[in-house]
Amino acid sequence: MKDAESLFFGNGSRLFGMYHPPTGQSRNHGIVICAPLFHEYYRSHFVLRKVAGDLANKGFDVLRFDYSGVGDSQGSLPDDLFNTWSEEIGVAMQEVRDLSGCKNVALITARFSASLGCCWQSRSSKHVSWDPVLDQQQYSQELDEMSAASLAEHSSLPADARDHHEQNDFLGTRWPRKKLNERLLAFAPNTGAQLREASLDDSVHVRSDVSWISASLAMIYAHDTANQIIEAF
Amino acid sequence: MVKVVTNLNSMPNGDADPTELALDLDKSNGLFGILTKTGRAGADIGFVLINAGLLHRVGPFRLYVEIARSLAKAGYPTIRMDLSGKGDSDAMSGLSLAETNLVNIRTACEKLEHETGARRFVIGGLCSGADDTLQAAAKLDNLAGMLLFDGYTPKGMQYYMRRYAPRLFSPQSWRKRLLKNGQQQNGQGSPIGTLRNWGTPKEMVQRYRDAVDANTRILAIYTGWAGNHCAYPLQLTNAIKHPRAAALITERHLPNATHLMPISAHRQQAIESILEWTEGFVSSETIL
Repeated sequence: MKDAESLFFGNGSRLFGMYHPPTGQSRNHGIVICAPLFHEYYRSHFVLRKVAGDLANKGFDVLRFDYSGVGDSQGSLPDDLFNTWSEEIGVAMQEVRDLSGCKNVALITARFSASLGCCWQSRSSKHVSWDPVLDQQQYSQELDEMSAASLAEHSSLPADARDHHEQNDFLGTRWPRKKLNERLLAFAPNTGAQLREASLDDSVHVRSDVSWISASLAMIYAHDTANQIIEAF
Repeated sequence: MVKVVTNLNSMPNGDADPTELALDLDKSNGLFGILTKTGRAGADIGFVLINAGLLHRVGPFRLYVEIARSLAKAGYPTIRMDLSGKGDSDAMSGLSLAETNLVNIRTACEKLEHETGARRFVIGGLCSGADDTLQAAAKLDNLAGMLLFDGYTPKGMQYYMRRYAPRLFSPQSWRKRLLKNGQQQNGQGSPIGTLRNWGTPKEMVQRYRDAVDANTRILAIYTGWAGNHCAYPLQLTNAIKHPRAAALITERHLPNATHLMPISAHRQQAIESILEWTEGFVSSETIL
């Protein structure tokens, strides 16, 4: 396998990325992989790395990256986080073009990143989404469930302390729950419909039986899902 | 394998974030890490953080990122690395897991010295990161300290007294116990040690004693998760039964925190403990 290259890119070189150049015959086609958010980010890292490597072996130029304030990227969560992260998908798409010389770039997105990537769909050659969020209200409830499940383990904390953390440090982000929820529900409310209505020619939804809410934080070994994503190309 | 693109524009945004470099720790074996540099010259001590379980170098809820950036601002460069087969590091064949981890950690230390001039190292991590650190410690050169989150703690008579005596007189405790026995008959629950890289109790105590013999300082941070095997402050220090244990071991308990520290305030408490320990560490070197 050809070496993957790590880099910091974007405005101020604040975004961390891993670029997987193609091995063997290049297809002259880029792919940007957009990880899911919050707890789901950690659970999917292994699978998405595998997907990137396997697609590079099939001849694609693949870039995985972390959004601002996430993973190895610089900074903390941007105030207008969902719009900023959505813009960063566009930055990543341009970066893979610059790195590879490819004109065509496809997107692989997971969970709410599918919504973040929606506005780039028309400028991508293909959009493969893993368990996309098709209903933002439902996703908001799922985030609440993830938070509740996480805080339920803090049995030594009094209920009011747990409630305080849930409301003011939602999902360990240091953000108030209300603020994050408002940003979430205000972000491009029609993306769910757009994702549902996208034509099958250029949009593929990969469904897995992963329980995103209750899965261990550490890992998802979803090999079947990885293979489905890869086979979409 | 990972190439390094050292981006000269990867500069901190004011005081917001220290400079970070993506590092090819070992080209031939695809070992990867991120170096968080300090703006101060002449750092003698550097940190290496190793994976918590199967999580990559970021750590749970970005714990390792927060630790590394805080340490860097305090003057200590840090490498957050992915051990072979984890995160973005390739798997390595031909060696046992313990041997591989040892090679990996030594490589990271060499790289840290090369990049920053640090000549002494603090190694650490959460969960298996603590276990792997302790296992490798005896064979590491220039090991100044270990940072162990929810590491193994030997039990002793005082542990059993403190943990179980109150339960003998608690009806609620008896009810829970009877219910739990029912569940275990259905196959639920498993001993913690089988999920971790723990040797026998005797081996584990010896690892700590060897570290203390070598004048290695230890910061042991325990969350509420560790309550199953760590029942009181100074349990580790007392259990090691070494004349220098009290001088070299610092224990910090965060009983309200859970193992992965999803609550930011708990991560912040852990970081403050690390920084406080580190400052005391450096200032007392001449004393030892």
